[in-house]
Amino acid sequence: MLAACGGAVDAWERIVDRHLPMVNRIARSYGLPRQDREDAVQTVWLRLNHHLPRLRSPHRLGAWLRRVTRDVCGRQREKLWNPLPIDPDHLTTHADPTSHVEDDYLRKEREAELHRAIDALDPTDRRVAHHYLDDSPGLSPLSHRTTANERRHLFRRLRRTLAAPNRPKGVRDP
Amino acid sequence: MKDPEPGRAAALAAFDRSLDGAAPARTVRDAIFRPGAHRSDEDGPTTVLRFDLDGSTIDLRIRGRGDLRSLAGLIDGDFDHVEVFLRRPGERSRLFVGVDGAFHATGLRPGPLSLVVERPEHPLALTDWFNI
Repeated sequence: MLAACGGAVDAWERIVDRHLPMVNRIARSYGLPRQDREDAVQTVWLRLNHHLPRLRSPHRLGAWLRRVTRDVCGRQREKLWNPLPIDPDHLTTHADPTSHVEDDYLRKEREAELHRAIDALDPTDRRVAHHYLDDSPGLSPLSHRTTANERRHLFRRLRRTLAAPNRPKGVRDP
Repeated sequence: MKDPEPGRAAALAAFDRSLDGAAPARTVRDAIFRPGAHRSDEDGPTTVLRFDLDGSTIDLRIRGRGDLRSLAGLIDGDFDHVEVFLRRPGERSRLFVGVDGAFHATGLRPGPLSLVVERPEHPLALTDWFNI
């Protein structure tokens, strides 16, 4: 990072090659259209370039990139969400019994807990988790990306983390 | 030979140390508003941003219509003259700032955008990158 701050292009290239697959995996997990996903990923690297002189801990770079990628992709997804206005007189006919504000909140809370549990995994398990959650088209089957043992190990770790007392609750701030 | 990771060229092109001496403008507001019931099908959401620039603020409103975006901004603070530049990856253009501090840009394609602000007796200021 220091070398990149000093203007070394090859150092920046090493940072990109090391972290871009992870940034791409997280971005794909948001299910954005291809162009929006590419814009979001580009924004992540532009932000890293912008903040690089102020980032002090190289070992925290991966965590910083994960947070910024989720932030940028989450904002992009929020912009694309396009609800249809409905005449209040017709609300009962359009009411979706499966969707409710409370249900939505609980779903988001579960997702946030899962993401926190994934963040708490060691790097190997975290990589397996991202491979497992990556549902972008054109990828090789899950069984080619992760082994059965890796998946078993991952699920065991995740269950243990999610069952642990005193884990943080609530929907994560963007 | 293995195909490069998607987005590698854009990630490498993001590297630019020429503005490291500039002061970062803090993002203090970032909200998305949806068009009301009288919207047309082409109207997209409006993004409202505010940046704090050490004694000045920039308010931005970005609207989407179809495939293009428009930006309206207002900069206030105690200065006689200000220059605002719009940065996109690989390009930079100057925006006309009125005497009231208002500026705008239309026909912008979606993608990353940032602003550069030049004020006399102040260091160059940069906003963070955001997607429009």
